[in-house]
Amino acid sequence: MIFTTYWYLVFTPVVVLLFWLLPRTSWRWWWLALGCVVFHAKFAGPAGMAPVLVLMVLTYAAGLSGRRWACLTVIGANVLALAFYKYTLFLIGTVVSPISPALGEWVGQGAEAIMPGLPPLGISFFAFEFVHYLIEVRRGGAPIRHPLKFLLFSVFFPSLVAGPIKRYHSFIASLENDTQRFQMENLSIGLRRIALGFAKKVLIADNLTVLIDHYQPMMASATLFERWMLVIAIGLRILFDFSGYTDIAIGTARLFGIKLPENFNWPYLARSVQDFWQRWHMSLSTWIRDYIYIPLGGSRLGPFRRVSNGLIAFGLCGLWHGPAWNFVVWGLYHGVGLAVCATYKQIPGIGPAIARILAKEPIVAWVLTQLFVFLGWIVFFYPVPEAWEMVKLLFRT
Amino acid sequence: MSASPPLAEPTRLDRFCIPIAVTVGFVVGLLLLAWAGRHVARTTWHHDFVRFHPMLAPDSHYQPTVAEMKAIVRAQCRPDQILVIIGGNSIFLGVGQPVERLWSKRLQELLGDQFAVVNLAFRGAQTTDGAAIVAESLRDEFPRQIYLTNTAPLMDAPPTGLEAYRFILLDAYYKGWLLPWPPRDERLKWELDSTEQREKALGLQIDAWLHQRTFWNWWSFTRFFTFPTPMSPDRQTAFRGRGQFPDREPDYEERTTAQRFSGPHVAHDLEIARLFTAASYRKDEAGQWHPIEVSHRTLSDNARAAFPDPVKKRTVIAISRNSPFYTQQMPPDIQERDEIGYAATLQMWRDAGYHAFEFGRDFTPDDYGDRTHLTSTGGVKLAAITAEEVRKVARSLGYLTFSE
Repeated sequence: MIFTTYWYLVFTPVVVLLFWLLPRTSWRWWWLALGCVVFHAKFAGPAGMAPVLVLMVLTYAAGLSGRRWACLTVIGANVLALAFYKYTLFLIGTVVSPISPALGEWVGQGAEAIMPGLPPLGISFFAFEFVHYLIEVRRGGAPIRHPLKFLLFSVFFPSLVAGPIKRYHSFIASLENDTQRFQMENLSIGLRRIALGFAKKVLIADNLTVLIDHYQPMMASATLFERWMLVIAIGLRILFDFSGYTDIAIGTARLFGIKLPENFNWPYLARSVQDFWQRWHMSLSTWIRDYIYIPLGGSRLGPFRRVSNGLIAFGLCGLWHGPAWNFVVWGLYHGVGLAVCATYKQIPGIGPAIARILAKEPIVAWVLTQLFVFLGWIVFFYPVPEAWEMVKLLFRT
Repeated sequence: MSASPPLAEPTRLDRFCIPIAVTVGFVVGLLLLAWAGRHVARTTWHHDFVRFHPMLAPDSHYQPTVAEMKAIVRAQCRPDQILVIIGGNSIFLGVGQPVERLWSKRLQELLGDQFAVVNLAFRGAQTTDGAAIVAESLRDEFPRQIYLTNTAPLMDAPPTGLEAYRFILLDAYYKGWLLPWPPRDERLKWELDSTEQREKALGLQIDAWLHQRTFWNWWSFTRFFTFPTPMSPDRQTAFRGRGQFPDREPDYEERTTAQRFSGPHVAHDLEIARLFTAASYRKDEAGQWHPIEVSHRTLSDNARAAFPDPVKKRTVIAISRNSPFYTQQMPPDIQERDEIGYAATLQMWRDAGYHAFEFGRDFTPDDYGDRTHLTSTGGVKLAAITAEEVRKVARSLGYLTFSE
């Protein structure tokens, strides 16, 4: 976790201090860009930076040209790069190997020989932000002409590792408007947000991790109450870990005056699966909505397409989290949840009755939603067979 | 243009807070914590300290700082006493001996009020780890001191110690408490040549200014520990203050000697004992043992580099022997090789400028809890031998007159 390193604690104050000491805004941007490149180089290394640099140059050039073929080609290049670095071995293992184990082994060895040990740092975020940029430019948005501004949009270090996934128009607007002069308010908000993030991450999430790692292998011998406590701990851990990290990212950006998108809005208060996705990892869910679900037809083409579009979008959303089946299952699980949420009212007789009960008793809606969400975390964190065993343990003494 | 997720706007709390007050408060808070870290180490919070049992050691994520250990020493040693700091590994820590029959307590009794014995040994530590750093850091404050440590025959002793206890070395190093010692400085540069190690070192460099580790140790010892430990994750003890954790070292003497030396571990330990000195000797065709030059030269060079020259003469190295339960089962040629190894180890340390002695030669299986650790009975014997050696060193250093 890059933000919880001492290096970050030294690096960030140095970059922020000099940033605001520089008298001209353009100098500040150059200095910030240098800091971002140093940060990226430190944690990604040259091998991790190279593919991102190539994608960045291609995306910048395609955006400037505004041509349809160029934008589509570079969108394809971004998607291919993401698939190559993140999913090649997964695809070989799940598609090629079941057909021909020998071929799978041969292709797998070949792929391992040409691929870096780990995917380039933040490749999922880079790819999504570049795709967003090119689609918006094709839809008529003004491209970023200034290469320095595009560089900053691409490698802005607070959001480089784990988001939030930025939108270029709001980022550039904030960069241009909010870095003109130092405001104590930004420093104050940024520091408090960083402190909150560290408290969530280090004090709560990391402690929960120790407890979860200790108790999870003993789940079968635990009492029913302890098993449910474990599931609650798993759900709280991911919230505090991820939202803590996001708080540090948003707070760090704010030290430079720059406003990043919010990612969380009390998701465990949601009273429906739809509500949950409007509160959880909002920068991802809106990206999925804008660039996968709506282009597929969204909810405009009847109930069947609405459900199938949701399943595709959330299957991909799950896969985006990592190259493993449990992520895909988790995404589809939420896709099904959203489909049920969106259509149950249309079931004759029982549908409207359920809707009335949930409207009258919001606590029931909240319990059902959170039960759904927390059970989903089990498959998010554990391989599907193991997760299934864990779920069964929750419903028997 | 698609609708973006909402940007991070000021919350109600943000609007309530006065920016300058929050920022100044943040800085002042940080400075206060740094001051608190310095302040709490002025006196020890380890009242009635005996040793770093597992719940007060890195074994359970508790990392004592040098300032904290210095405070322990100050609380236990008057300026008119000769300070004896015990370092080394689990043998000197007293694993297998309950607190009330710990060998270092017996050593204190034998040495009397002229000496103050402080046991700062850690499990698995080497001669140059932990307590060695504390002793060196206190060289001016307690000029009449003896550092007592143990090791196995032909055991390497790099000046930077083990990675597990490097935090103690770096703690003192970055606070400027150590003597300049080129072999250690050079090796440290080499040791820190990785991202992970540099990150740890950076943390300790920051700590030299902020003293946050001492503050959090005080907090977690006297209030509550902010991290559960892998050694006590039960609800009752997971987050309690470390000061409330009892010393639960097992008592080997609760089992008979026969019970201690039976079971599946015996064959494994026998093999370790058989190979104890194997890496450093080869046998010629006539059946004679000859030292492997490279191995001996490395060990000898490392012994010379282990401690800065000014502290060598007050450093006492004790070489431990395996339980006779194992050594007596060895064929004569292995026993012969071990004897050559012990003699060579003692000579090597002495040649490098240290005082060295061995213990365990005349011990019985009853004195051992396992292959290496001593029972309380063995601890009594160790204390007697050590007390004599400590007095010898104290006399040679002029701390005692030859009639004392």
